[in-house]
Amino acid sequence: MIYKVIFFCFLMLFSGCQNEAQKNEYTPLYSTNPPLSKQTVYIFGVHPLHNPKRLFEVYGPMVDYINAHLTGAELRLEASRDYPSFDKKLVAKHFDLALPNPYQTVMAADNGYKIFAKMGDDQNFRGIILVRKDSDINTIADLKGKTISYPAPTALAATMMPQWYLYEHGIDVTKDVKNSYVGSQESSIMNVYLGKSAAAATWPPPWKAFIKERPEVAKEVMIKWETSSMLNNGLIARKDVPVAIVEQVSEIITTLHTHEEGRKILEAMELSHYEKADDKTYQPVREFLKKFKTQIRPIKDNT
Amino acid sequence: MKGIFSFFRLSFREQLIYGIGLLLTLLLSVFIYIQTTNDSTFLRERGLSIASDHSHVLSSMVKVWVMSNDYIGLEEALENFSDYDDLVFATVINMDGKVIAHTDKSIIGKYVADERSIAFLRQAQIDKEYDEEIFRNGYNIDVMRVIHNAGHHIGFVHLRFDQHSRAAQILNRIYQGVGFGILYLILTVLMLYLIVNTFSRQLTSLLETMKKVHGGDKSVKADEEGYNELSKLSHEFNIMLDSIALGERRLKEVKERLEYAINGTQDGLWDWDVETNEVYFSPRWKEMLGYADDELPSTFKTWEERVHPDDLEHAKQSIKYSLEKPGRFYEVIHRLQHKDGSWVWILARGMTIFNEEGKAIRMVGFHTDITKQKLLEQELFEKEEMMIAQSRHVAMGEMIGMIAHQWRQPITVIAMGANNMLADIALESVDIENFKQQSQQILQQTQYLSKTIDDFRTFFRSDKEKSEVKLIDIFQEAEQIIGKSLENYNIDLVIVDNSNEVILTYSRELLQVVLNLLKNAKEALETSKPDNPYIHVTIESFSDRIVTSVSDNGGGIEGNILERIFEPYFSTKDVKTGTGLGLYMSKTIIEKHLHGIIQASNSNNGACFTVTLPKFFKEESPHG
Repeated sequence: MIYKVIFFCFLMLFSGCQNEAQKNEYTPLYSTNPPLSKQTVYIFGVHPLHNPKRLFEVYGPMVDYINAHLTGAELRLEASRDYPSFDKKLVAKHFDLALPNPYQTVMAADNGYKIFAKMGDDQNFRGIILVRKDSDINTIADLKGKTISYPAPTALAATMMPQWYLYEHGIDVTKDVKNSYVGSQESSIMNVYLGKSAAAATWPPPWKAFIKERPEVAKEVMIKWETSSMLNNGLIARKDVPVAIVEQVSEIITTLHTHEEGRKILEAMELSHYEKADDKTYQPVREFLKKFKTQIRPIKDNT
Repeated sequence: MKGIFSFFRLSFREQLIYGIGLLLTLLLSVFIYIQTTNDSTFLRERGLSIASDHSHVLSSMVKVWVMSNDYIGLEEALENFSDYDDLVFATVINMDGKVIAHTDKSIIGKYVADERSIAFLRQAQIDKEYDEEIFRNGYNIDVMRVIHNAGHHIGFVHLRFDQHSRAAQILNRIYQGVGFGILYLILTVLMLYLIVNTFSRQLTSLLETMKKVHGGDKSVKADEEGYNELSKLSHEFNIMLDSIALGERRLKEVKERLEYAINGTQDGLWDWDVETNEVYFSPRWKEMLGYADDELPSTFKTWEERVHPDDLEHAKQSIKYSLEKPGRFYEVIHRLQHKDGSWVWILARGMTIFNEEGKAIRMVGFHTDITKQKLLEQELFEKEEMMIAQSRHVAMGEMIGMIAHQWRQPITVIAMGANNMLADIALESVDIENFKQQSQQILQQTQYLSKTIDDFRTFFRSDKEKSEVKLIDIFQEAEQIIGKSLENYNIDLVIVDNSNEVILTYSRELLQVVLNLLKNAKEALETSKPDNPYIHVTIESFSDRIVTSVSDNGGGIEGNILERIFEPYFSTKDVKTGTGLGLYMSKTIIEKHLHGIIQASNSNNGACFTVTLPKFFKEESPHG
């Protein structure tokens, strides 16, 4: 009897050793075909005027709105880490539809895309140059030998137009100053705030957004100079995208300001409306670029 | 069940080892089971928790790259994860089900095709709240987590973690637990075995010692080695043995002393257990009655059957009296029948022992053989009887002398009368009137003689029964006898009776004493010849006694002989008049027969004898 009990106890002792080994039941499988058969998805790329998160916050509602009213297809918003990346995607015709800056708009228009609309408020499409309020930069000449931060070399309003402005005011941007292309509008502003650059170039919409989001930083910085205005960002579609889709999207976007829901969407973009446009609309930009290329520097992504 | 009972039949040592060992094994098993279960649960949960955390981190990291469809960013993000040892794979899938990043780069660009992934994707498209799915998969933990952005699902991550190392860890914990448990058990049982063995050895040693002691070997001692409680117990046991030995020695001494004392007194011990009615009779007790030690049963009946029928009732009464209350001793004289049929006189003495409730439980005492004393007493009694008879004979002689003295005058008168009548007849001068007168005188004298004969006859009558008498009557009777003799010496006998009470006594013996006292007084007065010789008798009555004093003015008794006058054959008188037995006999009669006291003293000018007699006295039984 004693031995039976001892045996039982040892049995209990080892009962803790449960069998951990189990069969591998599941292995993921992959194929070259999409798993879900659904309506066509068109990628809608927006140039990185904000970081991707912010970009989705600002443009996500518009894409949702378009999808809610678009028949036969669906748009998917896609951000890009920076302008070069966006440019690459654009060059590779990765996007079906895109919202590039005016420079990219005209470049894309020459590379398989067509312009079907643009952002309104062209008066706001100008460059601004920010300095710290406690800065000793008073005249443009004071910038000589200093660093100026820009979002990207190909950013029209935020980079090229300020550089043209400086050029017009006697600064040889290739020689007199050090140009720092920091990747985004917010980075450009933060650089001047942190003293890494003497001045920062950007344009009004991101600046307004920045004032809202980082007022404590924004109050240390002020607009020193403003450029003249230019055509705003364009909306383009790859030429193989069905016209019906492009027209639907164009119609939806350009009528946003006509209703409350649309106005709310536009408000987040610091924009009053979108308007229809075509290749000709951007002729002034082409001219500016030509002038810029010949007199200032070649336009290429050097980051 | 049988097994359980058999356990309780095991020795104390086996019970301890098996019992505690079993209990420990059971407790340890439960403890290890709980511990290892907790450990494995913890580790498993931890595996799940880590997998979930990693999926969180990855989904956050890749969010912007998914938004940007940025392969480089995704690649960088996954590279950070590939360092994690347990990671089997990590993949990022967009909402089309397209693999946009994978630790295995060859899969990038493909679409998920398994049911689980597709189901997850579908659910993620439908359910905005859908977040995570985590599941075990053999040795793997798979976790799928939706990538959220601003209320949109923009893809999901799928990570797989290998749990082999964790399983090994769990198993290791279990083995450690079990190993430790077994080691602990072995050490504990070993320790237990050693302790119990030591304990058992000491206990067995103590038990053996006890057995030897029980077997009569008082010289053995228990093993006191060690410092534990058993050693102390053994030590105390040895002290107890010493005390017992000392006690036994003392007891033996006391017993021997008692035996010597009992043997010395030749008394027989008896010890009666009142409740069981068993009686212990000592060998001497039985020997008194002529029996050997094994001849009489130890019962109350043994005694009861042998008590003399005349004594039995009284003896039982005495026993009853002693049993009633503490403090009453039992003492009685009775006869027991000897084996040869003769009677043995026994003085029985004893005491009763009572319990706490006051109930008599035991009676212990001795029998003393007093047959010899009784025979001596009898002999003495007979001697005394003889002496009394002897003294009575002396008294009779004296009486006869007195009779002769008293008779002389009447006989002279009778003779003279008869002579006168004969002379008248011879002279023929008979006168009838003179004859008549002479005859009446002779008759009168004859009657007087007859009366004195009656008096003396009464004196010589022996006492068989007690009778009620007044002391004054005894004295008057004595006066009748001795009165003439006193008159001859002009001794004035004055009897004053202040009692007038009747006592129950042997009147003849009392008369003998009174006569003796009066005679002694008369003889003293004869010798001293005072001017007005007298004998004064006073009878006084008290509550329980009557005191009589006989005093004279005969000069008293000399101081140096006052104490000896009651001794036998002691006399101050010359041989012709004294036998030396008178006062001795008087004392014997008063004290032994009549239970009184006789004392002698000197008064103003003579002796005074005081006799104190009880008004009533109870005759003692011949044996008591």
